[in-house]
Amino acid sequence: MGRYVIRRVLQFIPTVLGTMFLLHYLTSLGIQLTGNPVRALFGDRTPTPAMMAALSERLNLNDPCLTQTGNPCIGLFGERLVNIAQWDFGISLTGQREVTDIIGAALPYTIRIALIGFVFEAFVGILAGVLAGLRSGGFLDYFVKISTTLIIAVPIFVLGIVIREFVAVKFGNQLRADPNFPEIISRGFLAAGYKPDYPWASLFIPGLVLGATSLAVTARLTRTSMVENVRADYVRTARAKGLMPRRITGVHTLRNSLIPVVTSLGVDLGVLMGGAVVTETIFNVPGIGRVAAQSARTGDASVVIGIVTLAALIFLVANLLVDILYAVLDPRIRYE
Amino acid sequence: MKVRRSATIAVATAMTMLAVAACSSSETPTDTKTSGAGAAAGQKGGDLRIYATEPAFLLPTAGDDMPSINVIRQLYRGLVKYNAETGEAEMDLAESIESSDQKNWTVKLKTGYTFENGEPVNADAFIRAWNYAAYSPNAQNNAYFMSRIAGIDEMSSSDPDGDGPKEAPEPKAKELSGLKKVSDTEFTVELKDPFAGFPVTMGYSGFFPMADACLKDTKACNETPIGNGPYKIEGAWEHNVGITLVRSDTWKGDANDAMADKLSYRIFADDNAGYAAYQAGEIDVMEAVPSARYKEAKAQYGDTLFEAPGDTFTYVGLPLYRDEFKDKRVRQALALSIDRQPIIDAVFDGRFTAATGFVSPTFDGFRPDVCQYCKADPAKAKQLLDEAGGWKGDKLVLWGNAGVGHEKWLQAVGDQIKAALGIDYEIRVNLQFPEYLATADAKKFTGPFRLGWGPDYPVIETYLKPLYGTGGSSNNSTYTNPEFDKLITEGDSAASVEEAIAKYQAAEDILGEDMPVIPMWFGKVAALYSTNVDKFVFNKISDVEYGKITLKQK
Amino acid sequence: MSDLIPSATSDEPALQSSSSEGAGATGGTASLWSDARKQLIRNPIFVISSLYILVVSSMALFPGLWTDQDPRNCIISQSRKPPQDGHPFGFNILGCDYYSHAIYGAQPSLSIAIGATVGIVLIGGTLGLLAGFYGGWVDTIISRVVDIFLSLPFLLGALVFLTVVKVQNILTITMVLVILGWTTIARVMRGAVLSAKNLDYVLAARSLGAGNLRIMLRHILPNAIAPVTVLATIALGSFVAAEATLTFLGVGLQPPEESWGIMITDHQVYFLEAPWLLIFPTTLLIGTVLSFILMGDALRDALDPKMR
Repeated sequence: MGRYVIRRVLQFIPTVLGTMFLLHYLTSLGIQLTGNPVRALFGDRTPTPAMMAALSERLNLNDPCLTQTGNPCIGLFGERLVNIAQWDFGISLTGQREVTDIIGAALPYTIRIALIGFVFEAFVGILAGVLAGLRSGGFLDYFVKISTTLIIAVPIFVLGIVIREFVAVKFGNQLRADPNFPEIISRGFLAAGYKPDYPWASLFIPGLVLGATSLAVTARLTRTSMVENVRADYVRTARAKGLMPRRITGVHTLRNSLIPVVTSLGVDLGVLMGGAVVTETIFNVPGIGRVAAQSARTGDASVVIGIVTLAALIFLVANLLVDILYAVLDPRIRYE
Repeated sequence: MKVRRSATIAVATAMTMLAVAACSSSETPTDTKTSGAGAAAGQKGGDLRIYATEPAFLLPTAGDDMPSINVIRQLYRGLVKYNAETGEAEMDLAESIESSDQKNWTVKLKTGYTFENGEPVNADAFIRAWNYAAYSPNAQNNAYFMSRIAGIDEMSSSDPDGDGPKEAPEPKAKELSGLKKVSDTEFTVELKDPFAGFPVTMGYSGFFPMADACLKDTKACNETPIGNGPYKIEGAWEHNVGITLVRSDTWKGDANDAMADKLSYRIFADDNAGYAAYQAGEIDVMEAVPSARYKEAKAQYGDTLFEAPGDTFTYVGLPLYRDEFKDKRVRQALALSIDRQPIIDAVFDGRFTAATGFVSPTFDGFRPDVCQYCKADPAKAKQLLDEAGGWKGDKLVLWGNAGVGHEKWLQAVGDQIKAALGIDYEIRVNLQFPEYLATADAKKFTGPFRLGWGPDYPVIETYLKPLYGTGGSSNNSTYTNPEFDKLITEGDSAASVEEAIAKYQAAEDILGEDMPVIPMWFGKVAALYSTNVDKFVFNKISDVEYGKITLKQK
Repeated sequence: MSDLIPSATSDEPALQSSSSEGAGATGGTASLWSDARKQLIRNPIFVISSLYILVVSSMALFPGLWTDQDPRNCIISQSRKPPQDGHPFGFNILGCDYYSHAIYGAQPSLSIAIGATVGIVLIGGTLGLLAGFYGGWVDTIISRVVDIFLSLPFLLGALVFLTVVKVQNILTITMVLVILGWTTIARVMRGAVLSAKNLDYVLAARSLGAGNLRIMLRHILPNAIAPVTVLATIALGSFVAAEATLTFLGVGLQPPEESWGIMITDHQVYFLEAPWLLIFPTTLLIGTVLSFILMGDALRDALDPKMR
């Protein structure tokens, strides 16, 4: 077991370095192809060369390799790694803030919305999947199948905007008009976006939207897994032994069916934390997804690299934990 | 005066980030918590909740975008302010700003003003702020605005080999030679060239004073500003979330500059999300309605929608460095084939005013119909083109920057030109903003190009010299006309602003004939406020006066 | 914002088991497929989905069959006029016929989806086959590369890639989708190959002197076709939706190109005023995505003997 974990952790290092280099190369290439992003800060007003030079130097964008298209800027990458090892991710293009500060400020919101989405997804998803799986081919099965597929099929931005406009604004305004209605619901849970006065409640709807797509995945996976296990030999044996059907479902089938679901959920938590770009934008959640999307658009390389590296790290750690968990649950994996 | 460059980008970006409109019921968002019956008008108090986007900086010398300036104006005050009703410049912290030759100016200060930390607002407070802004290694965005002051050239240095390995040398001077302290309440400013509009420009936030403690640690001062204005910051700037200001106890100026107890700026990344928050009653003032929601907002919240002409200018530049655009009759013909109003109505829901000249309708010195080629007349257009010997180029290439929806109206422009003159066109909108601007700087456009302009100060010269003066900083058409340059110089050194305006107007007339660019339209202000607001105050020069807005009191 | 191919990854365990099952029934590949065909024809969901896809594909291939209007012929005074005789979908912002736009919009959307799916099957399939078959250092390198690309969040990754390439056309968007999407196929392929590699008939073929290439193509690959087909079908749907989302984020196709994603993104603000501008393209898009996913589901059920 210990050796397995050590092997996995060692594999981890080249992956993280590879991800960082990929991002570094992409953003460098972006600057080489589209020009110095500092220029865009000045818009229609042409800056003096002195101004451009001073800002470029401050932002570490004055390396000559950034003008040679295709140059991977290995030197710059090395510099970046050394800095990152000292917990210095550089400063942002707009506002010139420390990237670590930016991420530190944004992360709590992302953690909150991801947790809400995760709980929703796990709870409702598993419940729907189990119900569908037990009566495979029945009405509930079809209902769950069609409704979850529909959720996957609707683009998330359409879903988010429709919910914001109709549930939070329209329906919420009806409730807000009634002074006797509890404010925590009318102004908190039904807020039109993130609201500092209600740090958790106002993230409820965005969290549900975020969890909705993964909910469909969880439900379908649970269903498939249930269906398989219901027909497994050990269930047949249990039934032959005359065990109560409730006990067979509750203890044997469910527990075994949930192994793949739990692992998938673990990976999902990593994915959710990786930044909900669209949901955070629509519901004005100041999390890392919103910041990353803005930065990618303005060519803010250090912020993008910082955030995406972090997201990748979270994903990889989640994956690692899940794999270890899997190895604990299923001894065959260890000897692969 | 204001700089809109980032705001222009933001508005444009908003056009790609669209949202579903709400249902048709017409209730105005009300917040039962703060609105109440029997309200007395014009009273102090309350919490004004403001829609905002993330400022770049809260340091006066660095913040040059609208979101920054909106906050800085409440935290800091300068020599001059603009009258909320007329927009005219009035003395604020200055007692007087005078000059006999429009080149050497003497500034006298009122006494008794202090910063939040107790430091006095004296001559040093201004001189140190301006020096800090001008010194190029400080990389302050508002260095640009110091460029009229004598000694600016010694304050900046450029890299000898561009992006090469050599570092830029230290600038020769650390202080502007044009700034001289006379006493604590008096200093003199020497300009490089005479400029009659100098006092008027002093209301721009880039000229606001800064405390010594602030310059000692600008990073901290950016997060928790040490201001001298009617409001002070509560806590610190909560990035991407909000900024809260409360009334300052040290403000000695007009007590009516701080009506609400509290200004709560809530920061949004997407204006449609902000509009949803307004609809849900979470916002009291939204300075700019998303353009695509304008029609809907007008229908639903018409009573609390404030509209006024704006000053952002959109134009289609013509590359005079290319042969096919050298004949002014060709340029006139192109301008005559465009019918602006249908484009404004269809693509922008009427959010713009069709341009009939080169300066904003909100400015002193504006005259309608300066540009006789700015209305559609396809027959005359065809005739002018024929006189010029027809179109000599290939397909007309219309340029715009990518990803912000310019292609929509450029396509309409192309269609109109094709219909009037029979010139086929293609649209090139694949360059992102940095590369697009670099292409403009390098003069490499192969056809008409879209660009915008926001005024730097409330003198019409701001629309003329930088854009069309020989070697002007943003003269992307490479237009040059000695007569035009002469009139601008005469205007700059005129004895009074009125005389100056007459010269500038004569210069504008030359543009109306030469057509170096095709003026398209000027922005319109459309601000929404909630029913909690008792009196909404808009300043045509410095925008929404958040401090002067009163809330209905319970 | 979740995986690129959510339903695909989720069902992976099921797929893997199905592939090993298929491998067990060696030589029965043909009958597996013919059985599946029989079952699929009787499945109403599969039939309806296929018909829908057929209709949409004909829009993409032969727009002339559906409309004789030119979508680029616009009259600005007709801006946002509602559906009317001869113009069943009304007019868009610039006053172009919206129905012909919707018809012509099918082509870019489907081209991207099909191109990207072919891409991930070729690249992911090849790399997964090599990794599973050769094992050792080949497997190590390919698996680490898979990890790297898998660790990039899909939308953030796409944002970074597309802002870098700056030219956002059908080709570049397809390429980015391939770059971020091939890993799923590679993993499934690798798993299927691993489980088939040491089966008796493969060992037998090897002992008879068959070369690596022959073993890979003739004996191992057929085992992986079923799970990969299912995944690819579902990926088709995901890619149609992904195109729209990328457009919403401002890194998708750019007008004057017309795609369903552009139509949805451009007109959603006018939902109240002119709801048809949002409803028509959204319905077409959701129908397509739904059809592909349901087809994939039906395929999986049909190809998995355990499900019978």
